[in-house]
Amino acid sequence: MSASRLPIAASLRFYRQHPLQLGLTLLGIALGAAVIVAVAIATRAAAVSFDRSLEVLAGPMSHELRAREGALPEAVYRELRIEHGIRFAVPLLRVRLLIEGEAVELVGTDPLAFLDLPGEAAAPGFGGGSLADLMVEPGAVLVPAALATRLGLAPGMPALALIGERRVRLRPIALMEAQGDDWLGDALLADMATAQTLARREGEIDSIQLRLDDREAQALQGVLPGNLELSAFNTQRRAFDDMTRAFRTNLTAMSLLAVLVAAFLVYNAMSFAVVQRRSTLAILRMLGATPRQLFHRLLVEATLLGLCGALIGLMLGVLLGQSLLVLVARTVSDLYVSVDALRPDLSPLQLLVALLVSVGSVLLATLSPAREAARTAPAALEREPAAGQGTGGAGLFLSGAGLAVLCPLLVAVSGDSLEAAFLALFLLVAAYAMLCPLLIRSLLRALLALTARVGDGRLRLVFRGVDSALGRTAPALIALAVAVAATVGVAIMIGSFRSSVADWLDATLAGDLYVYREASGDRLEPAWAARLAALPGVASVSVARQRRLEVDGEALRVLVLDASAVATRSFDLLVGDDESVRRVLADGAGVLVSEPLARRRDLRPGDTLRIAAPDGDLEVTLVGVYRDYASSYGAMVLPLAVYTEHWSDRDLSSLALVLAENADADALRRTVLDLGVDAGLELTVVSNGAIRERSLAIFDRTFVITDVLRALVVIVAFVGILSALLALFLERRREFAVLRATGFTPGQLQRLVLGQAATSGAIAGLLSLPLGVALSVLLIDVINRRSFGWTLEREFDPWVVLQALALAVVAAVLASIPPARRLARGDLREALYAP
Amino acid sequence: MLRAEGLSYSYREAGRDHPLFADLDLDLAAGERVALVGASGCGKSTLLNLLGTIDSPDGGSIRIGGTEVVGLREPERTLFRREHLGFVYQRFLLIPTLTVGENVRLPLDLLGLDAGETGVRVASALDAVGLADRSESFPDHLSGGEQQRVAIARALVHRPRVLLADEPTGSLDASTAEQVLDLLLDQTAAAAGTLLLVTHSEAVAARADRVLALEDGKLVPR
Repeated sequence: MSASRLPIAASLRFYRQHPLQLGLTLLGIALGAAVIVAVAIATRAAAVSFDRSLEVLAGPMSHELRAREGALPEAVYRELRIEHGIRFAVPLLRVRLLIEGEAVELVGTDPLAFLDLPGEAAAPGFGGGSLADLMVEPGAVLVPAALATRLGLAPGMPALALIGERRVRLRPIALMEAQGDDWLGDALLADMATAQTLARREGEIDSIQLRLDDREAQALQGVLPGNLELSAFNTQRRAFDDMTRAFRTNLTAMSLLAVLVAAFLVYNAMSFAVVQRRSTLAILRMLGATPRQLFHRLLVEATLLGLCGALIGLMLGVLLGQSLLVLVARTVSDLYVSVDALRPDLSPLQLLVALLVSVGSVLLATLSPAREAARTAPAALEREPAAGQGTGGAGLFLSGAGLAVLCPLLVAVSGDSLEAAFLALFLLVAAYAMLCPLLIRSLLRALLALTARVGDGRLRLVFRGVDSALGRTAPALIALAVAVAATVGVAIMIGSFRSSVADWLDATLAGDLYVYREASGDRLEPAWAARLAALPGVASVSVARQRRLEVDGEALRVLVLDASAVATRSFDLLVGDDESVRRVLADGAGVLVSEPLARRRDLRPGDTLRIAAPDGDLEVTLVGVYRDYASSYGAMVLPLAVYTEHWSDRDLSSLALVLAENADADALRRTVLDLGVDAGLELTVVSNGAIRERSLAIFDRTFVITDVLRALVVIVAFVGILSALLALFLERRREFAVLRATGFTPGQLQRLVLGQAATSGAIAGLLSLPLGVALSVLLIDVINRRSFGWTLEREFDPWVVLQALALAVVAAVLASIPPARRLARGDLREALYAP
Repeated sequence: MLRAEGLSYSYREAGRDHPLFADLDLDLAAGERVALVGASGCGKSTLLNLLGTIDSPDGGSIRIGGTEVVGLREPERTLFRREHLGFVYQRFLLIPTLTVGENVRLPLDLLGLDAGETGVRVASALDAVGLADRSESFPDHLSGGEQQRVAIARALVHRPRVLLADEPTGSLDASTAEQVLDLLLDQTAAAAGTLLLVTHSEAVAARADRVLALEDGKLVPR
């Protein structure tokens, strides 16, 4: 007596008779699955792209040795090979040059070192007769074949290149058939001596890449002098994972929200399908089908629907993922590390996970309707369902209230767990969904009471219609409310975030003009400070040096600042006060750290931090914590006086100019640019306004992907409300036909239907507001803080409320237009005698 | 074959219990065809549902073929109904998404009969009601009389001990009603089953072996 004894043909034919209902249900499931797949494609592509760039950088090597400061003496390479007996070591010197106007990298290395590497790792082109030519011929280079084609280079044909302003002559001696992704595959290769001569950096190299196992790395680390730094490439991979974890988790949570809304849709569709087949189910019970058989039948049906919808969703997701790739690549590049154009790539496992999540959510959403179906009594044939049946009662409300209490408890006990925060968010949504039926009914009762007092019969008809349909439409209304609430919550969060960033930029950009070299990492000589200070119209100059230093064992962005008024004004302290800033920058009393760093490492004023300096470890005291939205990883501010005491580096990264009153900023900007040209440097000079504008543009770009996902969630909800209203109004066509028979014109009938839809939408909109605000609090104060470590000032824009209400009403009204038109145009006689 | 003793049943409305009948007795012999008449709302259909294990009485006993069905748990009641009872209703109650043949074979599928036996029985049942050529049709495409004949075929295809019919001719014209009634009585007799038939029609009742009237919660012979 298994479920298979019940003919599945009846289910299939039911959906064949209701193609629109089937189509919308499948579309809802498909959209949910598509969003999961698209997000998985996009986030995986970002990670793969980073891996690829690391592969190009590291190839078969595991570690890299660099000087903590400046270039690495060539002698270190010899010592490594001879004294430490390290066989797999490759010295590298990277030189940027221009050929035919295109920027090209030339890598100087020791070709003989490649001969020692295992076969698969040997760089192409070093074999054969070219090796001797490469080491002997002045200016000899190996050219990647693709690059040669692009630039018109050929072996034996000399080529001219620019290094800075200087012309150099290259002699391509052979082509390398390398792929672009190969280790060093994009660069011109030269013997180390050639590269040093071309770059005028004799005796210097940039780094030595090594292939070491853990034991060898540990041994080498133990004997390295303090001015050398050995880093593992896989820690860079881990750092990327750490940095982007919050970003990926946020996107995944957004995609799960789409699935949650889709689950409401499925719940609604399956409930409706059960109600529509109530008579069939009762007949089956009368003939002896057990509740379990009916339950299984519904689950089999849901599994088939889930599989079909999810498969369509996987295909849609691949298409959608292509569009998201661009957005994710841009966001990851803006916020974290530069990644190339991404290629879609999805593992079978991820597809399987998306399929299981989708089908699982469909099954979960079907459990309740299937249980209802199983409970169908054979006697139900004789009774009509009560109005409002299925909206849940006090029990559901109390369960929801209990769940709502769990949310703050979970937040309170879960420490900094981002996953727990998202779980609390989903609990909150589930709790609110349980509270909704009673809230909706109370709202409608209030409206009915109001109309009874006003005595408006038509309005009463509208509200009665909505009230009597609640048993069928409540899940769709809740889905719409949840989707709109997500929109409200995210909109408040983004608004608060943007306003906080704008305030922070205003405080941070205390200079009028900022000067730095175009290529990041390129430095300016210290003399530039005095040169610019001497310009007419410049009131003062503040200097900054940006370095990556090892702080307590991790590489950290360190901002070295002087004690100028500009620097002192640039901080909005969250812990400490203006006096703390002055004590750090003017007195060299310690350091400041950014909020994300303080949060991540649980740092407090008075804590000691250890910075690896050329002359040994430097211990500094933490004095204050400042607001900083520039990095979610964290940064430190070190006073210039302390830096110059321990580091010999005197170069500058940027200069901030404060202009005298009435000074012409544009004229001064041109003057500084001209000074740069005279010195052979490509300087960038931007006003604080331009930086602010550019920063906010990046901010807005960052949230484009969130907006896209938010729109998808609303589309899923729209499909839900469309299918619910369509099915409901079509089912009530006899009732509407009676109204027409008693004198309602088609126009009046359409207005009645649209009025009921608008009322439903307005209810969903109103319901979305409390949840939206609660979600925004959770997003701003918990999830954002745990993701990025940033404190945001909450800002509530009343416009968001109006948008939410409009969105819900418009969605519901749009969804009701097709059924309203069908009802008004339909055959009255046929509708009156409909079964 | 069917014996009910001391049956009581009340329904609840507006917070109050309204007794429909109390201490009701009924005895149907095997193969007997009995008509049940009474005013609208007197409880005829409710009694039929109680005897058919679709509803449960407040008290009393119902024995069908020696099995006490009052007190059985829901799954047991379902299995009992599946095997021993057949139903015909005024509204036909065919499943619109199944063909005529699929509707008729449903009780046999639920009983788990093998495909060969099922095919033979369905063909025979449809032949007996004169619809052998409509097996692939959907109920919507049949007339009211034809739909009721399908319902009779479905009610008898698994050879139930008792057939319960609730106004089976109530929605049919006089001529069709006559044909359907003939079919119902003949088929029940052929299957040697017991028939309890609820009707408003004196003419229909007159065709039964015995007529009982439900008056003031008691069964009175006519």
